[in-house]
Amino acid sequence: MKRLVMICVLLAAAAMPVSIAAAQTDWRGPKELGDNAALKYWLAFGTLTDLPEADFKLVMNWNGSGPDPAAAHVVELCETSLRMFHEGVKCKWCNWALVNDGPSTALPHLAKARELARRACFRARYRAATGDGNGAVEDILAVFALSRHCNAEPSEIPYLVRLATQRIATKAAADTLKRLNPEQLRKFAERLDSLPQCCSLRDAFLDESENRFGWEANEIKRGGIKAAEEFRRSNAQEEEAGKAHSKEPITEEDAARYIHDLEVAQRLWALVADMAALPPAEFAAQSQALEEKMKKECTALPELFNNEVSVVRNNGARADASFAMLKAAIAVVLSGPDSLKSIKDPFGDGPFEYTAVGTGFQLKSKFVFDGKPVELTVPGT
Amino acid sequence: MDDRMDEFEERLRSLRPVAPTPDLERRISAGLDGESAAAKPRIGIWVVAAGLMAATLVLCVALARLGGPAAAPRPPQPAKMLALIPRRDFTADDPPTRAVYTAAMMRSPETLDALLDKHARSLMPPDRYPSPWRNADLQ
Repeated sequence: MKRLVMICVLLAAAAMPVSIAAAQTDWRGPKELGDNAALKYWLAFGTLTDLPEADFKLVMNWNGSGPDPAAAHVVELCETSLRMFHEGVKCKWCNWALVNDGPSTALPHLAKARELARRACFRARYRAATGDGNGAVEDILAVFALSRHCNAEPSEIPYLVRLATQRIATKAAADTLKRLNPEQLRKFAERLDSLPQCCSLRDAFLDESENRFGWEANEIKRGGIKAAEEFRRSNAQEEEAGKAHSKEPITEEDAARYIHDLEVAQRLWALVADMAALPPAEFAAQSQALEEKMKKECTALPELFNNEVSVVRNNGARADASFAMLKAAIAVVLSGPDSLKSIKDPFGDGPFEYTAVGTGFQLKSKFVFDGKPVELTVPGT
Repeated sequence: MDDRMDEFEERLRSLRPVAPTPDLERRISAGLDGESAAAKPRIGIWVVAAGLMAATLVLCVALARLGGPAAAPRPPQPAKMLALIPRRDFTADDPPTRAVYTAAMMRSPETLDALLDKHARSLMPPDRYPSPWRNADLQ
């Protein structure tokens, strides 16, 4: 009997550390949370500091032409936040855990991410200018990864921020390509093909359909005239056409009209999601037809379907063209302009147009954005 | 008072009301009876007319409810269009929400970029090193 009691006591003693560890896991949350890039990015955001105006302008405009003491000082100021930033990029997944509140959903991380991207690209230029090509490649690839992590949430705004951040990275990459050695260039090209996954334009349009228009329609259905008044208050601007009506009380008829129009918009935006993969010209023609349909069917909110979808689609196409040109530019720096013969412009029938500019060069796509063909300039050293 | 007035007053005092003749009394009595007899039927006509009108009204309402002739359609109300694209400038004081960013984006993607930049700077601490007053607070 004594032996049995002894064995029980020993077993209990042996199990105690395990149970303590289990209890700790409970209140601290799952260990895997540490693999969430968003948490590391917030550490980077938290250590970002506002720069004096002169330093801020330097970050915005410096082309990395050579070593510069002022640039070195700014790089030093950004060191902590950029270290946290790279910890985030190493993570396996990214979840911003946003609180879905329809149109009121807070997206404070997007502005911070843009600023972080700027500073990382500034350091990439500095590193390239001071002979640290590997460091420059790491910083630029990290910004590409961050741009995709920003678009881990499926809606239009994160999608557009992804494109804008990608533009910052593409420009920095083009500025530094001529300073990289062949091995660094090859590594760069390879890793551009294995960036983190993110949401698509289709996801963005579907999310707008559900969480913007569907959300508002349901709110008015639930809240009646009061919710309709709130909808009008937050959407109509005093100085706009709504001025004449802004002080009139909302009637049940108005609320019913809002719901009707929002539901039409919800349906049309879901249709647009299925058109997202169409070439930009075809997309524009079809979305124009939907815009006319919206204006015909809706009397209160005909603007809910407008050229916004084409603007977003065109921005996506410009980013696609720029990204394809960046990869083509790496091939040109590695193997010369002849390498372009085997690389097709995704928006044309042949290769990108090549023009030598001093010791650098310029590539031009057939895709036209804002009346001008999309270009990528790689300056010489 | 003079003498002429005294005489006149004496004559007035001598005047007395004369009683109506039986014939006059009969005629007045007949007149009064005739007037009351004529008034009764007039009140009855008004009551009946009001009743008929009320009944017609009730009948109309009942017919309309039972699917009778439809009421004339209301003239179409003017559409109260909402302008969804604000013309005002966006500032760092605007909250960083989906609605605000969408409104900025509807103006142009460049407006969205500019607003994101404003937000990025407005939310940052001015310096990473403690300022003198913060040092003083810590001591």
